[in-house]
Amino acid sequence: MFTLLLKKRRKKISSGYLFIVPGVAFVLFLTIYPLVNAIKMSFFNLSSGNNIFVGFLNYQKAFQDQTMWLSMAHSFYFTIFSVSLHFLFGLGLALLLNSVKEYKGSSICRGLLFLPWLFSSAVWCVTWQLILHPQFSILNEIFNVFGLKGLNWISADSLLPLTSLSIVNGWKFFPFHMIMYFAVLQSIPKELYEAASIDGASGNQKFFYITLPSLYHTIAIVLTIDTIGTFHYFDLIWILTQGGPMNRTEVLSTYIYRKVFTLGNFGYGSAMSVILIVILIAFITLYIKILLKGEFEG
Amino acid sequence: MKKENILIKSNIMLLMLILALSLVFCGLFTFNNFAQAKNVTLTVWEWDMNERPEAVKAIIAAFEKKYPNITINMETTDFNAMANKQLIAGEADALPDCLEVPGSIIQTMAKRGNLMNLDSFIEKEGKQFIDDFAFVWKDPWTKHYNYLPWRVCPAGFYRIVDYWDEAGCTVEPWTWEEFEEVAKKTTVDTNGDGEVDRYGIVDTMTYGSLYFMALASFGAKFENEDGTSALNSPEAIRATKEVIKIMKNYGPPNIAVFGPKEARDVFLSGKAATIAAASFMNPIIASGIVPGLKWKPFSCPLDINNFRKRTAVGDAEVYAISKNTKHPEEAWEFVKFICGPEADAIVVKKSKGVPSHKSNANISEVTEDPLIRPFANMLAMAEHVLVPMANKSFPSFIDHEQETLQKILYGKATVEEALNELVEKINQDTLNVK
Repeated sequence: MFTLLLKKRRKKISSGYLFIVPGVAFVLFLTIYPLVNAIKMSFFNLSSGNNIFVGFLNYQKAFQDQTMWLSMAHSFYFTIFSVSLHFLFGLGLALLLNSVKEYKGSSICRGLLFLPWLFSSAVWCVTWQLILHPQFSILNEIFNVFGLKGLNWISADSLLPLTSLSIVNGWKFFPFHMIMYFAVLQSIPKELYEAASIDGASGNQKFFYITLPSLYHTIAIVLTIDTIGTFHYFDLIWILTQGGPMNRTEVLSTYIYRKVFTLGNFGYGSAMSVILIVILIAFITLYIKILLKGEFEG
Repeated sequence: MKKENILIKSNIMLLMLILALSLVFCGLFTFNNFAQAKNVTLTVWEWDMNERPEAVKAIIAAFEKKYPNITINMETTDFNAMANKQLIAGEADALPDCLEVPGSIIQTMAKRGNLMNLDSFIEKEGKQFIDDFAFVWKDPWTKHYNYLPWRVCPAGFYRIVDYWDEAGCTVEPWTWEEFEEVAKKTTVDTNGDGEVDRYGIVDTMTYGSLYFMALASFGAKFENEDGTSALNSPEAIRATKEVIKIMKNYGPPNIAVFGPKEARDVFLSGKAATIAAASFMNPIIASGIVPGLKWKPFSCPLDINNFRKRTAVGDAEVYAISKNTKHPEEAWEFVKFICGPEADAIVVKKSKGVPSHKSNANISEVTEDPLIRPFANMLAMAEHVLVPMANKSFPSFIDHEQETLQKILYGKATVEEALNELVEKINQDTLNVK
């Protein structure tokens, strides 16, 4: 009887495996194959007709490339600045929306605040190109109206261009944070706040002892996803500055793109991509470990 | 036993019959294939810009009329996406029969062996065929003809006639000194608030026509005999100094970060009196400039110390055949036709292109059209045509050009320092030498 049951169960399990085969194959094809191929390509010199195996030469070259290190530093700056903006604006506005959710028109406000995230990248980039244009900046025109001197938003020889791009990125992606936090905020039971009020807790205490712990896991997940996306962010930077002036806005993704598509150096580009992946994995592991420290300890 | 023998024999007979029938069918199939091979469809990749579609349509119609057995399947891609598409397709061995290759990647494609060697085809056509091109070159890496120029785009200037007249500049400059004088006079403060608001010159900082023209005009070479970059030669230093002087004094304040779009925006909105640009700008200016402003092109100035050698810069779009094509003969017929004098004349007539064939230099559409004539004259009169893309170091040059000019314009390096650094980077990228 027992063996019969075991056989039936085995049959069930094996047919289960059969069902997931197409899905797994699809995922493997779309994720593992490009990754393996990129790793393979990084060991070859693909800029000439003969694909020559060069071992770790591309990696050695990358580690000696000063512009790559500069781009990496810029990538970190851009990511930290942008993700901080996403988080602060997202959380702030989610709290605000949650506190006014019973008022009339709050759903319209929610929709309007969510708009930047819905913009197509092309439209968004062209719009900001006009706002920060080195010659016809709309922002500078507004400054002029108030008697202020305009700034070289994307053409200054300083950190300003990269900061401008980070702010623009912040504006585009904060709604993702906002909507995720808002969803969690709505699910926190009112009774917790009422009980805290009876116990004489202040607004700050309610935020730090009820709201923030309730949001903790969502924040950790959203920050992780956002950090990965922002670290290899490309389109706005490429359209607005192409990494210039003088590499002031060069990030790893734009640098890799230039090396691959301007010089046709697929091997070198792949080596830098592999380095980027390794950095991201290390960064994210550390990140999750810190963010979920309490959880691990528990 | 007898029965068995009969059975074996009949089985063998049956097998032989099947074999014979298979052979016949295979033969028929092969024969059919051969018959079908006469009717060939060629897939061609091109990009779509300005007034080209009408010219391309007319060229294909003329070609298909001349070669009724060849059908052209033209696949059009946005110009900005074309280079990436071709590089990736080349890597995946998925290129079409024929392709229009963007200037920035011609060499990469040839070097990686994606393009067919056309030497034997060209040899069969005779010397006259190749001599009729205004300029044509062998790929610097493969030392073969891997592509033929289709639409040549010499660099020159476009000026707003009204602004020049206002500044009292009625004669087009012949030398760089005269050009500088015009740039100075046309850099003005129109509303009297003490700040310049209309500039004498504007140009892009990548693939910059002004820089190419200056290099050509001052006699600078891209490369030395040994293949190393020559962009820190005394001629290149003079050319660079001239360009920087003009841009710094008579260009918009942020010109250092201008790409093609920013440069065009400034000129088309009437904020600059002159723009350095290649001949493909004719239709763009015609459709985009502030209505009411009169404009016209003019030629590259001369170096006063080098007066006899009238030099010009040539840039071109090219057509090539993929190494993987299954129809090399037909593909060659197409490339020969689209890059040949008959199609060239169509390009001139339908899209105001500059003729890439000497035999078309004197057709009325060229000699009587003020938008084509300055560029065509420049090409016809040139003793030497600098074709940047014909040099091994060109891809690396365009990768570092903007950064180099920016360093000088922002005062981060002298011309000499910036050019030495540029040469070092180019040599490392191109020849892997420090």
